[in-house]
Amino acid sequence: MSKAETFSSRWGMMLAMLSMAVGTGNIWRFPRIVATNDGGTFLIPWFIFLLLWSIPLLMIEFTLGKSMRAGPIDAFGKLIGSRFRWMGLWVAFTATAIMFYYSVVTGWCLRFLIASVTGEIPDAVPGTFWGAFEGSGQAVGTHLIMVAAAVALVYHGVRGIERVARILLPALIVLLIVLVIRAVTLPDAHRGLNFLFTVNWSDLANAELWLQALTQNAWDTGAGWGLVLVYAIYARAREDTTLNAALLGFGNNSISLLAGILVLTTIFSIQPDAATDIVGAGNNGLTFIWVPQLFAHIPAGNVFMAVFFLALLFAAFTSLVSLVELATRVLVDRRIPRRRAVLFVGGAGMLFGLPSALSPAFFNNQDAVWGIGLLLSGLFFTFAVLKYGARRFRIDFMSGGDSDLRMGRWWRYLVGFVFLEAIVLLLWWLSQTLSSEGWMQSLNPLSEWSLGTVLLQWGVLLVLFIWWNRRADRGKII
Amino acid sequence: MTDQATITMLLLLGAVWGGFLFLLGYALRREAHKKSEQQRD
Repeated sequence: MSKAETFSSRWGMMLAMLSMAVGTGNIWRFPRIVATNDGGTFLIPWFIFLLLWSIPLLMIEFTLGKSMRAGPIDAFGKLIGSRFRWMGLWVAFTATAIMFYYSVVTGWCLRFLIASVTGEIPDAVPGTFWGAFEGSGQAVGTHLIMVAAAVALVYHGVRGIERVARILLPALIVLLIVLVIRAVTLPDAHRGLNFLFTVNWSDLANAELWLQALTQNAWDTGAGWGLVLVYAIYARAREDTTLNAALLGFGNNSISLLAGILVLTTIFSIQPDAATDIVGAGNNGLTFIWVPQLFAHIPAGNVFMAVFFLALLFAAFTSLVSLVELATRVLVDRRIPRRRAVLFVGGAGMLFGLPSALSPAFFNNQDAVWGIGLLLSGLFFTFAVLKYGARRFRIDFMSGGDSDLRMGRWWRYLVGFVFLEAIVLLLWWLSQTLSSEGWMQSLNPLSEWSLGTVLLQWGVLLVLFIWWNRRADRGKII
Repeated sequence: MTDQATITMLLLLGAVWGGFLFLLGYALRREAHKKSEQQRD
């Protein structure tokens, strides 16, 4: 691998990885999930799963990417045999399917940044601007612009990604700190902090709380997405993997906490009576309907609103770039020249993002199907390590002289535990969905959100991927 | 803020932000050590 194809330094790589991990999951999903799951009580399982889900998976991805120097499909093949490449294809496809609607979200951030600068929001009736924009031609336009921008960046290779991350990530952190300082100095901001950090110990017995804590960790750290694996391909030859993975997990969750403090102190300071409505309005409702209303009540609110949407745009865009890079890498591994692969991914992203840009129902469907698909991706990663042998994996790939954090014998128990977590979580989710909605409703494959639609889309693709794997093993297709 | 919320806040921010700063400091030291080793070689 030439120097131009590797990150220039450890810190350049870490900035690129952190900018990948920090996305809308941190800034809009985390505060909402904390608020709807009992505030401070949620933070305890959330921290535990940082240690027992996110960081082990990040370590696996980091190590696989650096050791195999290949995208998810070939990394799985090299580690546990070519007949398991369909698992890597699942990981890659899940992230790519998320890319198809994530560019739409990034486009929304762009439109709201423009609207906050031009003064189009907030309008008198909450949600009017959002209602007119969602699913409109403008949403299509901003989606296309964001895909084109991400493609332009990835087209210039990993050094281009690093250069932009070196600017956008520090800028994002500075913007967030400015907003947090403003938020905690608002009158009665302490009410938000009380809510965010008050623990009701008896609620820790609630299984739903633990499920939400784990899925939030999967969402905001990017563990199990395959993105860290792809960036680690471009790590320098003697790069550490274990300490970097831990640093990434802690850094990412530090930014989530900043966002939580920002949003919840603002809500509880400005509209404490509407706090339940606000956090119950969903990701889009909170960010695109209520945030403009909240900022309207602050002196110089338009400025802070523009700063908020600029930070959100930076976070979303750098994550979109990593999703485009992952899909590109998969094609590069199939011997397609990089620049042609980037353009192909861009074209596909523009085309397959259109339904999500035009239809909120389709967007919600895809968000649910592939969001949960990440659990299966995490399961496949841990399966691969267990199949290879957790101890062997540690000795062969994690314990070299370059490693800054030595893994002990406990590594095998940790991987086994993460594998069990994924299985228990999937089974629990299946049983919950079936029991809460009934068999007939749950299994309807045409519903916007149902177990049926998830299983149908997963099933069709898994069959196709396994079929491809068998044909490819026989040398009939690449 | 209530006492309980203050203590929880200090513990959680200490664990997450403190954990991040501790790991960052350790990574900086390791990187400096590796660089000096490389220069010696």
